[in-house]
Formats: sequence, structure tokens, C-alpha cells
Amino acid sequence: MKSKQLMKAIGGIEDKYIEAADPSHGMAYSTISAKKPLKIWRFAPIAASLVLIVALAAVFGNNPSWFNHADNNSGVIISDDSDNISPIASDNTQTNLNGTEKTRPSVQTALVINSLTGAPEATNNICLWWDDAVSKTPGQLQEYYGTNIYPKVLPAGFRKDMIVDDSSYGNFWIFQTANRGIYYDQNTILYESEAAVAVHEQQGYRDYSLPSITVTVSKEYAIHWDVLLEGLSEAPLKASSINGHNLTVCKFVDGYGEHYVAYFAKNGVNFEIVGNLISQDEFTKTVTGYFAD
Amino acid sequence: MEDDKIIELFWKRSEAALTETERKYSKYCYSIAFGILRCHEDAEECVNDTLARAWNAIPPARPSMLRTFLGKITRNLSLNALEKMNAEKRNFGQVPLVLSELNECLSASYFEPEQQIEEEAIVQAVNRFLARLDPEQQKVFIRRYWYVSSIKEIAGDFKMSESKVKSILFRLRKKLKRELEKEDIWL
Repeated sequence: MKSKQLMKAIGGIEDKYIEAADPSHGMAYSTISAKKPLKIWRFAPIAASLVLIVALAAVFGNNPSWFNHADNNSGVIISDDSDNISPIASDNTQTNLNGTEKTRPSVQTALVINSLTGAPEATNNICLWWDDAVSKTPGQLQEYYGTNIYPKVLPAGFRKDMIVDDSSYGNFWIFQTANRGIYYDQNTILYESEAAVAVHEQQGYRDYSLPSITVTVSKEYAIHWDVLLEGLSEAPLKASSINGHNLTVCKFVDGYGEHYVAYFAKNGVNFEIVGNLISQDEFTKTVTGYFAD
Repeated sequence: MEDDKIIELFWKRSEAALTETERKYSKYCYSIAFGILRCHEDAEECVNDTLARAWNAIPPARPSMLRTFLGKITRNLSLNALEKMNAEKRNFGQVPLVLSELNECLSASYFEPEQQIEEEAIVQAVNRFLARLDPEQQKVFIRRYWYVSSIKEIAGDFKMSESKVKSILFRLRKKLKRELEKEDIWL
């Protein structure tokens, strides 16, 4: 009788949980590919895009290592008015951001942060057969993708060692068959703050209220970020460019706090980098670190 | 038709409310009922009863989310129907298994057996428990204990092995038990 009482009580839980788990909606996201702190709450649309101006000189030149240097100044200036970008001072350089008076032309780049009204959600309808799964160690994974997939820069207080996502059975995977070849190769690498790692290790699963960064990579299985972001931005999405690589950078807020996400392709590998509950400056450093080579 | 318009039709006592509700939500309600009852005829009957209950409930109710409002009615009706089926020895489906699993969340009571725990207190405790889970865990838990989906169905939808689903649910039941105990809810 008691379990019936509990069963009955579970029937009265909040609507948002029932709605989120509705089987007819299909899976909100793949447990194998990306265990992201996706939305539970929707927030009111955020106004105009933020424009983040990044002096990449700090990345590529004067200050190559940001690991565990919280006070590092990346030379980032943020404006909430994309039509009126103010000049910034980067180290010893005064720079006009319209691009006409660059004193460091090879490194000066503007990252546009698009504001999203909610978290991007990935729907994965691909059927993964575990019989087709091939296990990869972190080293083998790096070799498979053929380009650096691990961040060179992490925020201060972050554990440098990655954590393989709980849902990946403690390893990375690609899925392939003899006749289809590789049909799914998306993997997510998780980095957490030391505090988050401690909680993670203690309770056995991730605490989404603590800072983390996830890096999701794929080669054969593309991350369709344009589809993911469809309808989530009031304004047309603006792309950014770093050293000739296009990327789309966004920000959204949910019940846990602020999140940043960047999508780009580099050397044939699709990247999605999500910064959870870290500052814009920290996220920028992590993302731009991928272009430092 | 938008939900608020359907609800207006209910309030105007227009039978079009039933037609529109059935068109929009009968499949959803059926999936809930079938998940519990595992019987087509009984599930269909529950869907029809859900519409009748909604007709009686709106007004005065003005649900903020019609879909889950109907889903909750269907779930309750289905569980009631299942009890009746059990009495008739027509017992099958997932509910006996789910109830057996939920037994693990219960503690030996140190109160008098007749002491009643307010259902609302349990609901709120479960809500708080859910709020502390990550989205994936929430969904797996609700799929099993609200929608009464089978382990196999959950594993298929979440692209997990069945053993992985079982493992997640096992940990969640232990966690729920601890949470209920912390809140002095001893069922």
C-alpha cells in the first residue's frame, strides 16, 4: 500500500517535469553524445546581441598560457551595442575596432555573442547499436580526429584532467559497421571545477549547479548547430571569425545561471564547446585557445 | 487549436472543446494509459473517461498546461482501472514491477502505522528531489515512475543499455529514499 501512496504522489509532480519527459516528444538529447545542462526553464528573450571584442594578442602573443591564472587580462571589452563598438586597449595597444587602425592586425578579432532565449537542444534520432561500438581511449580519440580536440586553456580552478561523461560507460566510442563504415562518432569531453569534480566523485554523477566545460566533437556525424539554434534567437545569428575560421558563439541563461556555447569546424572536425557557469572572459579564452596553433 | 482557445471552449460549455481536445491530445493520453494498462481497449476507455473528467473539471479549473492536466487525469484513471483489473485477476503490465521498485524508496516507519502522511507533502518532497537531479536523470525517473514506461522502452529512447537504465534507476531510488528520510517522510 505504501508504494502505491508514493506512486500516487509522483502523479502530482510539477508539470514541467512531466512535459520534459514526454515520450512522444522524442529524446531531447543523446546521452551518448552530449550530456549538457540543457534547459529546464525558459527565460524571457534577452535583448540585443552582445558584442565581445577579443584582443587575441593575449592568446597568441604575449601570454600564451592561461591555465590557472584567474587574474589574467585577456583584453576583452564587452559592448551591448553592436552598432557602436568602442575602441579597446589591449596591453600596450590602442585599437580601433572598425578594423581600420589595427595595431595588431594578425590577432585582432571580434567575437559576436548571440543571445539565445533558451538552451540549444540536440535531437538524436540515430539508432546506435552497441554491437557496433568501438571503444577509444583519450589518446586514440585524438588520433582518430586528427586534430587537437582538448582545450589548451581552462578557467582558473578547473581540474585539468578530463572526465569522461557518465553516460559513456567510462570511455569514448565510435559506432561503425563493415558495410556502413562509421555512422556516429560524436563524443563529449567534460571538464569541471575542482569543487564540481569533488561532488561528482562523491555522488557519482554531475552537479549541474557547478562550473563546467564540455567539448563535443565529431567528424562524420555533423553537429547541425544552425538547426539546433533555430528559433532560439530573436535576431539573425551573427558569425565570428578567428584566423579565418568561422564560428558561432551564443549565450543563454537557465535556472542554473549563464551558459556560453560555441560552434565551429576545424580541420574537418565539428566542435561544440559549452561553458557552464563560467565567465564570458573564461569561455572566450578556452575557445580562442583552440585557434592558437 | 491553441490550448487557451480549447479551454475557452470548455468554459463556454461548447462540445467543440471535446472534439479539439481529442484531436490534439488523445494520442498522448492513450500512450499514458496504454503504458500502465497494456491493453488497447482499457486504454481507449481511459482516454474517453479522461475527456469526460476534463469536461467536468473545466470549469472551474483553468489549467495552465492542458496537456499535462489531461495526462494526470489519464494516469490516475489508469491506475484506478488497474486496481480494478487486479481485483479481477487481470494483472499484467509494468505497474506491479514499478510498485515493487518504489518499495525500495520506503523506510521502515518509526511512527504509528496509522499515521498518515499528507500526500501533498510527499509530492513536494518528490518535486524537490527532482529539482536536484540533472535533466537526464529527471527524464529517466519520470519515464519509469510517471509514464510507467518499461526499462526496454526507456533504454531505446535514451540510447542506453537496459542495464544502464536499471543502474540509474537504482541510484535514484536510493537517493529518493535518503531525501524522503531527510524530510522526515517515512512511508
